[in-house]
Amino acid sequence: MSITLADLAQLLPVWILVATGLLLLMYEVFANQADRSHYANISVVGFVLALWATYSSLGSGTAYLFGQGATAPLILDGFARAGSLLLLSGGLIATLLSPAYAKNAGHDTGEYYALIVFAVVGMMVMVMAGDLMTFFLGLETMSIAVYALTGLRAGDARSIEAALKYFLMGAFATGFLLFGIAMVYGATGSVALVDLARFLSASDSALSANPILLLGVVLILIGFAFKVAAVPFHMWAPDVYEGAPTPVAGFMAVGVKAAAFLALLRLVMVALGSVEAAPWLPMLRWVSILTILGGNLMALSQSNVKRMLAYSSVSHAGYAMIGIVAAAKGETTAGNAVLFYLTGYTFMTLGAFGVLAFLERKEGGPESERFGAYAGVGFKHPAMGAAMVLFMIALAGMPPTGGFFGKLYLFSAAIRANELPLALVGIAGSLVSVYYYLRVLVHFYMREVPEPGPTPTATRSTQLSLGVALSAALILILGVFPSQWVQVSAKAVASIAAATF
Amino acid sequence: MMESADLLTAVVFLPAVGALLLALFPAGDQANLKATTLGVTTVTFLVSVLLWTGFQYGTPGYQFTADVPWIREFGIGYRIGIDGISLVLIVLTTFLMPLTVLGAWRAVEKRVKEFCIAMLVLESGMLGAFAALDLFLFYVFWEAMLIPMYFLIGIWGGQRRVYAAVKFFIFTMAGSLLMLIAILIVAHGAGHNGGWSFALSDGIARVGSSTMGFTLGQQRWLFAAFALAFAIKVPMFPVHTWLPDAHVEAPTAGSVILAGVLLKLGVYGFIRFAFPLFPAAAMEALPVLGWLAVIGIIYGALVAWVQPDMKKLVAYSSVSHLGFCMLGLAAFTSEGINGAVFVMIAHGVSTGALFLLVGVLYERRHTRVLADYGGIARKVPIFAFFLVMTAMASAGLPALSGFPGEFLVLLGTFTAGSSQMVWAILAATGVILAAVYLLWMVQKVLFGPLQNPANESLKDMNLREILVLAPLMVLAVYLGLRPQVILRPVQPAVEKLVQDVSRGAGKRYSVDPGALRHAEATPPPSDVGTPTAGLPDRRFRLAAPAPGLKGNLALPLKPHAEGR
Repeated sequence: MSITLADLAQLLPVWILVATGLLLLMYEVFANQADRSHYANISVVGFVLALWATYSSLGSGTAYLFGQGATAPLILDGFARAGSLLLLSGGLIATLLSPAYAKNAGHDTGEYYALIVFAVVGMMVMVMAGDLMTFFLGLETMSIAVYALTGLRAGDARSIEAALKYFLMGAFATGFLLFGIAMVYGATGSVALVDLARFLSASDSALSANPILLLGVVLILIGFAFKVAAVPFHMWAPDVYEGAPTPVAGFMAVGVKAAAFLALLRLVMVALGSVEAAPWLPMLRWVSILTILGGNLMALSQSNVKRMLAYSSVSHAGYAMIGIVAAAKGETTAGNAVLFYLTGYTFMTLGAFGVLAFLERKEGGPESERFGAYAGVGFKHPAMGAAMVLFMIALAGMPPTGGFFGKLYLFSAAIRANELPLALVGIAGSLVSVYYYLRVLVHFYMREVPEPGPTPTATRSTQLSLGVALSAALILILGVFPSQWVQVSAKAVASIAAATF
Repeated sequence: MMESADLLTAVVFLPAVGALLLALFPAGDQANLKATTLGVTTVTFLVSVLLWTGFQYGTPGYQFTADVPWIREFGIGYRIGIDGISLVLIVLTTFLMPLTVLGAWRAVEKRVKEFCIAMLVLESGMLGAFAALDLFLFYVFWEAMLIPMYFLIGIWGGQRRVYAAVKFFIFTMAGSLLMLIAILIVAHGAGHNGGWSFALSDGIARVGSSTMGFTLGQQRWLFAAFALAFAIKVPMFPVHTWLPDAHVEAPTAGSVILAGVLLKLGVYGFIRFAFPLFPAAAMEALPVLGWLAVIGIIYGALVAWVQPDMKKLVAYSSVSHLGFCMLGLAAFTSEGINGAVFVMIAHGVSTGALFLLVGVLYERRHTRVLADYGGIARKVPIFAFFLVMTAMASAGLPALSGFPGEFLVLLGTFTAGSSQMVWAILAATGVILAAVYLLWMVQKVLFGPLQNPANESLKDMNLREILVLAPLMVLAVYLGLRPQVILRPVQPAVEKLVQDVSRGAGKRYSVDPGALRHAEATPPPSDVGTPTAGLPDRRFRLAAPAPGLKGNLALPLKPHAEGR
C-alpha cells in the first residue's frame, strides 16, 4: 500500500471536514461564552467548502486510492462523489437546524457540531469503501459520533435511554456485520468487493459449495438492515428518534440511512448482483415488504409526532429496499432510483424535523410532541406551516415534489425488474401513509388553537429558517425539474457498473 | 397574437400565478384578497373565452397543442391540447370559479388569504387536468387538486369536516395510486427503443401495437386500475360514499366546485384516458359500467328523496345525475356520449346553482334541514324564483338545461341494443324520481304555511347573490333552448372517440360481436376533416344549424335497427 500526495489531494472534501471538526474542537477551548454562536457558522462554512470541492470534482474519472485498481480500499468514483454530495447536504442542513435548538437544550457546544462533521466523514468513507474493512471503519466512525450525539441532552432521561439503546443495538448490529465480514474473508480470502464478485461469478456452485460465504453475506445484510432500521430490525428507531435532540433525530434519519443504503447499493451492484437467483433475494424482498407494511401500520397508531416520523422513516427504508431488490436482479436503473429517492428523502425528512425543532418548547417533554400540541400552528406560523404541508405531501409521495418523483422512479425500476408485487405493496404502504401524514396537517390547520392553551412557542433563528427553506426549495426542485439529478444519479451508478472488474 | 398553445397555458396557469401573488398580500387585507381573487378568476374566464372563439369547429383532433420536453429521461413532456370535450369543460370551470368566489364573499370570514390561495390552486389543478395530454402531467394535476380541496373541506367546513376531508382524500388516493402503477406500466416501453414515454398518443399506440402491445388479460387489469380511480371520482355506485360526507361538510364554495367540476374529471378521465387507452377491455366492461350507472341513478335518486338535509339531498342528486353521464358512456353511442358531456355541463350549472342557493339560506339561518323551513316563498320571492328555476333545470324540464343531455343519454342508450334498452327504461325512472325529490324539496322549503317563527325575518337575496345566480339561470335557459352551443364543439370529438375506440377494440382481439357493432357502423376515418359531411344521413347531426329544440331533437330512431 502506497500513499501518494496525489491520492491525498483527491480526498480534499474529507480533509476539509476533518479540519473543520478539529477547528471546532480547538475553538471551543479558546472561545468565550459570547462566541458560541459561531460554532454553527464555522461548521456551515466547512460543509459548503466540502460541497464545493465535491461538486467541482463530480465530472472527473474514477480514482483508486491507496491501492491497486478496483481492490483499492477507497474508490472515488462518480457514485462516491454523488453520494458525498447528498451526505454533505444532509450534514449542512442538520447543522443549520441545530443552533437555536441546541441553545434551548443547553448543548450548544463545539463538540456537538464537530460530532456531526465527523459523522459525515464516516458516512463518506462508507460510500467510498472498496472493501468491507474500510466500509466497517467508516461505519464505526459514523456510529460512535451519532451515539454521542443521541445522548447530548444529558438532563433528559429519554435522551440517555435513547443513547444507551442505540449504542447497545448498534454494537449488536456491528457484531453481526463483523462476523459476516470475517466469514466472507474466510471463504474468499479477500475483503475487497470485487474479489467477492469474482469469487461469486467464477462458478455456479460458488455459493452452494460455500455455506460459510452465504452465511457471511446474510449476516452482513442483517447488519445493514439494523442500520437502516428495516423491519424486523427496527425496534430501536422510535425510542432513539424520540429521545435524541430533534435536529440529531433528523440527521440520523437521513444521514445514517442514506450512507448505509448507498454502501449497500455498492455491495449489491458490484458483488451480489452477479448471482442469478441468489438465495438472499427472497430475504431482501421480504424485508422490503415487511418494512413497508410494518413501518406504515405502526406509524398509524402513534400519538407522538417524532415517533410517527421515526416509523415513517422505517417505512421509507422499505421503499428504498424495493430499489435494492431490483438492483440485485441486475436492473441498472434501480440504482439511480435508490440514489434519487434517498436524495428526496433527505430533504423532506430533514425539513419535517426542522419544522418540529422550530416548534419545540424549552420545557419540552413528551406532551409537547403529541399531535394535539400542534393545534392551529399552521396559521400562527404561515411560512413554517406551508413548508410542513410541502414536506408532508412529499413524504406521502404526492406531486409536485421530489418525494413523488423518487417513488415513481423506484416503482418504475421495480416494474422493469419484473417486481410488480413489490410496487403494489409500495402503493399500499403509500396509501396508509397518507393518513398519518395528513394527520399532521389536520392538527396544523384544522384544529382551533386552544385558548389560552399551550401552543408551541417558536424558536426563531435565521439558520433554522434557512435550513427549512433550503429543504423546501430542494424538494420542490427535485419534483418539478428532476432531470438534472436524474442524470447525475444515472452517471454515478453507471460509474459503479463500469468500475466492476 | 399569442401562439395558440400559449393561450391554453395561460388559462391553466393564470390562477396559480394569482395564488403566488396573493401569498404576498397581508393576511388581514380581506377586501383586497377577495377582490384580487375575483379579478384573477374573471380574467381567466375571459381568456378561456378566447379559447372558445379561436376553436376550430369540426376538427376532431386536439387544438392549442404544445409538446415541450420536460423530463427527457422518462419521456415526460409538457403536452397539452384540447378537443371539444375539454373545451366545454374548461370553460365551465372558468365560468363557475368567479361566481363561486363571489358567492363565498360573506360566507368566508376567517383565513381569507388561505381560502383564496386554495381556490386558485384548485382552479389551476382542474384546468390542467382537462388540458393534459401526458399521463404524468395529468397525474400531477389530478393530485394537485386534491390538496386544496382537502383544505377547503377541512378548514372551512362544518362540524365533521376533518372526517370528511380525510375520507375524501383517502378515497381519491386509493384509486389514483393504483392508476399510477398502471400509468407506469403503460409508459414503460411506450417510448422508442424500449425507453419511456408518458405521451397519451404513444400510450394508445403502444397498447394497441401488434408487436409490443399488451394481452387482453393485461389490458383488463390496466383498465380496471384506471377505471377505479375515475369511478371513485365520478363517483359511481358503490364507491360513492365519500361524496355525501364531503358535500355536507364542505363550505358552499367547495361544494359548488366539487359538484360542478371535480366530479366531471372522473367522467372525463374515462373519455380521455381509460377508453382510448384500453379499447378492448373498455368494451368488455361496458355492461358493468352500464349497470352500475343505472343503479347509481336510481339509488342516488331514492336516497336523495329521503334526505332531511338539503345539502345531502343535492349531493345524492349528483350521484344520480353523474349516473346519467356514465350511462351515456356505457351505451357507447355517439348520442349517448354527446348526452353525457351535455349532462356534465348542465349538471355543473344547475347543481352549482343549487348549492349556492342552499348556501344563501344557510348563511341566514345556519341550518340546512328541510323541516326548519316551509312557506318562505312569501318572505323571499326572489330566492323562491331562483330555487324553482334551478330545481326545474336540474329535474330536466324541457327548455331548460337539464333536458337535452338526459334525453340524448336515454336516446343513445335505448337505441344501442336490447340490453341497453333495459338500462334506458330503468334510467328513465330516475328522471321521474329527480322531479319528485326536487319538487319535494321546493315544496317543503318554499310553500305551505310559514310555521317556523325564525323564518319571519328572513331577508331576500341581495344584489351580490343575484349577480351570482343570474348568470347561471341565463345559462340554464340558454342551454335548454340552444343545446347545440355545447354540442357543436363536442360532437366531432365524440365521433372520433367512438371511431377510435371501436376500431381499437376490433383491431386485434376477438371481442364479442355485440360490442363491436359500432365499429361496423362507423364510417372510415378518412372523413375526419369534415366530420358530418361523410356521415350517413342516419347519423345524428347535431352540428347542423337548427332553429330550435324541436328541429334538433327530432331524431330518426330506426338507424341502429339494422345493426342488430
